Amino acid sequence: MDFFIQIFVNGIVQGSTIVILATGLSMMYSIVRLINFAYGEFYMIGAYVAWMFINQFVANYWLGVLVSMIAGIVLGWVVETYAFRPVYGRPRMNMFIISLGLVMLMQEGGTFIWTGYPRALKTPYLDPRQIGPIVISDQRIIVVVAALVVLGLLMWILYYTRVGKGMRATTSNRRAANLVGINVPRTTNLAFIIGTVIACLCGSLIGPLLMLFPTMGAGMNIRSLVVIIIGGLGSLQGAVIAGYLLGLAESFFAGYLWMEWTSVVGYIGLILTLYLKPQGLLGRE
Amino acid sequence: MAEKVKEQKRGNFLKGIIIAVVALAAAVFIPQFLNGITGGGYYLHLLIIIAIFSILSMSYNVITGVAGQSNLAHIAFMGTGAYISTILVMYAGVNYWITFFLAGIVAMLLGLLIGIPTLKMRGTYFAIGTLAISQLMSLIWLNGMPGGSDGIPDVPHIPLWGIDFTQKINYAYLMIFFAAVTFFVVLRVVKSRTGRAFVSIREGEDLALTTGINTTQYKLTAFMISAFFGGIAGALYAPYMHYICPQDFSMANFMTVLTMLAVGGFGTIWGPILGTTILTILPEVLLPLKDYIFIVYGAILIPVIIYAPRGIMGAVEDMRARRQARRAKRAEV
Repeated sequence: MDFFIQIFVNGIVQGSTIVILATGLSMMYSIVRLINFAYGEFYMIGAYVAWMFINQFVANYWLGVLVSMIAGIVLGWVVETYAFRPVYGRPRMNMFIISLGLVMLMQEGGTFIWTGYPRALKTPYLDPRQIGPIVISDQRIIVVVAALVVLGLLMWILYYTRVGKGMRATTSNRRAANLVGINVPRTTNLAFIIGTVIACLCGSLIGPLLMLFPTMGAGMNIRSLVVIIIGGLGSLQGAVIAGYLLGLAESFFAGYLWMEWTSVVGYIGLILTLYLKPQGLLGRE
Repeated sequence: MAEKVKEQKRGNFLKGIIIAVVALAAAVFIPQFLNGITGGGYYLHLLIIIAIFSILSMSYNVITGVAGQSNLAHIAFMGTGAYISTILVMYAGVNYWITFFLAGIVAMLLGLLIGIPTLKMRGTYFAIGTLAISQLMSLIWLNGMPGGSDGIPDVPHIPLWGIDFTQKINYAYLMIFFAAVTFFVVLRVVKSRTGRAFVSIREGEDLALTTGINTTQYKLTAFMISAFFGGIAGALYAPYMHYICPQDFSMANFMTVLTMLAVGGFGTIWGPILGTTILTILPEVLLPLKDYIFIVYGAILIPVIIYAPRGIMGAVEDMRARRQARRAKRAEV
């Protein structure tokens, strides 16, 4: 039973990671209908920036997280303005190819700058702690809490602020939003930046729990893409539910069945969803 | 008027014959020439790689360039073909040429598995579905296939009328032959009624649907043709390289194929071959950058899509169309 609870908790931690990424990705998708294959790369860069700052300059962990988020702002602004903005309104395939080009640039650029050698991100919160039957480190608790905080903030921005209202308007109809006086390019830009900041935050929080290497983003990116499809494209709530479900399913699969086949869970889930309920758990499309 | 059309048709026919003769002569003499010069073996190798990747990019062009569906699993079809063929030949002793066709058919079935649910819907689902299937396949090659991440060495040569395939030149002729076959099949498909249906889906799916085109079925057809030739390219790749491993069919190699097609021109006839040639030779020219060639590819891909979304051949076509329009205008005046 202890093993079961431990695995459940691990699943929640894994699910929290996926949820953080999936909400950012889902937001990018809904605002410009962009499937961003480069999203995992933002996460990788976030982790490496935090690593550079914390390990190289021997700085405070939370300062590193902050720097990583600032890097996210810059990254999001540059990528949206110079790579994606020129192709809005063109066939959607253009955007998809650009995002693949970004994957190449960022992954290989990462290898160029940081080499392929795995790095460990330092954090003071790695000591395991015994709570009842489970063993968990503070860093994992931070990840779980961060997922809830990110979700709460995002909901607050989307539903209780003027900017968020603009974003929701842009999501539902770009042209009409433009007509009623919403600055659509700036709103898009902002939504994109929020997405990249979330990715970088996630990278710097998860970083200490894994090894950093330049292709670390690929696997997480596919997981979050799978999750936003299972949850229903464009549905934030669906993505959250599907994210926790996938995290738990992967954790149980790895714990009780075959470790090396863990990522199969997501693919099988995706294929089943596409056959049985293609609009996803909470999708409306 | 009718005579003029007839004349033009005859002109096109003559032009076709001239191109065919020149191409045939080139196909016969270039490998001979490369074989003759010193250090030609390496150039011959590049030629073979160009031929194999041309098959790949031409077939990729059918679904992504002509029909406009974002497929990310093309390299997975190649890998499936290579693994099916190699494993049947090495562990079950099946004749190579049977496995050659099986490779195409299995790749096609794999395409159907993900194509049937996703092609009913629009773009996004198909893209993510194919990405998932390609990752699933590489996981299977890594964990479920003999050799694992080390791959399968000593893949036997192609048996064909006792031809000595340890000579690279014979491979070159064989690959050029199959590339030519692919080229003509793709050309026939694209120029046919079916091909026009593909283009209409790319240009506007709703309109295509309202004019009575069964878009789902046509998209599936395009995907099946594409996957079939992808599988065959894999079956040709394995015996030539003697060795296959999951790394050969990774996402990075898919990006190479994508860049080839983007540079050459999506949806054009000659674009895939041109792009494949350029991007196979480019790393040899940029030797100091060879380790980071994907940075170069990324730096090429993004501006190409922004400024010339239909690649080199697309830009040439546009230029020709503009010139023709100008000439027609002048004739009117």
